[in-house]
Amino acid sequence: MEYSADVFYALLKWLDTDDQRAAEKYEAIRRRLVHFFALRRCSDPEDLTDETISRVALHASKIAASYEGEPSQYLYAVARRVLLENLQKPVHYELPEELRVSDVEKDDRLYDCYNQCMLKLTADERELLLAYHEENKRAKIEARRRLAAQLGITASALRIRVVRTKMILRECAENCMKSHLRKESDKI
Amino acid sequence: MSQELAQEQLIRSYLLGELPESEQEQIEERLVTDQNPAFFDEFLIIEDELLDDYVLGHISEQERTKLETGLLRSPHEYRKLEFVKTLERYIAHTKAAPSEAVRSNVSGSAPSVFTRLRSWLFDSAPASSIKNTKSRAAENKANNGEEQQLWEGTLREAHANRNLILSLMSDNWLGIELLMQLKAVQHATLASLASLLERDGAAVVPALAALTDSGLVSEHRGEYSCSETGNEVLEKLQMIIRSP
Repeated sequence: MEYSADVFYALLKWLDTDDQRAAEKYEAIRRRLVHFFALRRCSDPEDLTDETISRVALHASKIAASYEGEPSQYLYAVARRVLLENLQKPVHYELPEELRVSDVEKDDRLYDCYNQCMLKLTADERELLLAYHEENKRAKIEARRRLAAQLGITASALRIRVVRTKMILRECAENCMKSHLRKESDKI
Repeated sequence: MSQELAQEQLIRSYLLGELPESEQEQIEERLVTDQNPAFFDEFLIIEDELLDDYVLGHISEQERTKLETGLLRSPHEYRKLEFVKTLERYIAHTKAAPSEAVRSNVSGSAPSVFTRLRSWLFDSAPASSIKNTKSRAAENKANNGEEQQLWEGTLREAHANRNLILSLMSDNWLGIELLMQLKAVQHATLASLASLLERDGAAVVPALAALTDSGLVSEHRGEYSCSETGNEVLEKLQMIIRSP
């Protein structure tokens, strides 16, 4: 579903009157919606998220005038509707392209991508990931406690820092895999 | 049970598909709409740790089955699992790498040269310049802005030099090996460097990153080359090795 820049701007304005905060809220809600659809086993969570946002954006200026409450509640209600409609569609499940190549080939590609992406992390981030992943389960708990103390942060703050670093890494590796696929299809 | 633990348990039960539909929906609604990012963050943590535990075999057979018949049937989640597996593989290789390097680097003549090199590196400018500047600063006790700037500049330089030295020495001198290879082949990708040195890519990454951070190696679109500073350092090292 296509919509104009004005329509999108109306959605942002509804999310927050401050442009910067509106952009942050948009990013946050988008990320959360993708997660929601993914947890509901949808094959293309990004597409369904775009569909949800488009539907809301098209009416944002009207809704904003009368709706009371957080825009995220409204977006969630529309997302559930999009989910139900999607569940009613005949299942046409196709593996993403990178999952269709042989396991060994794909594993090696992904591994190479990880190597490259590790280099893009800062030295501190790399060390954090290595230190956080102690192999032995008992040692792991103690090591993580020590690590949090060394960094002067709580255990929860350490956990979220690690998860965010892994997200950066995963995003980089996903892009790297896509770029491999593009190069291969260009050759063909 | 504390509130935090109860919430953690609830999220875990959701991910394992143990909750009735109405409770699942409550979790999902909070996931999307909760204005406080703490819940979403907590969700990401539990999900990440559950996938880690799955890959490392730290969950019960029952939980494993629940994941395989539930969450992991989501293509998106399955893809995440692949990333977790790859990361665990990378970490296992990286941890194994130093001991392999020690075992493989047993050439007879190398230690004496490297021992000399190590002593030269540690006796070189940074340490002495720190000492000199410090005593000079103490003598003058001027403590004015200019002196402070000079002192900070020297410290920065010493820190950079220390990182440069450490990057050459990292992983039992793998840094120097990499730099020499890069000088010889002019430019190479990570994979080809690993292959030239007959090392796993994961073992090469930290050393290469340290060389890049210290300015000895440059990177452009995935290709690495020896920088001007890298060339200067290698020339200096060659002079030392050749000297009687």
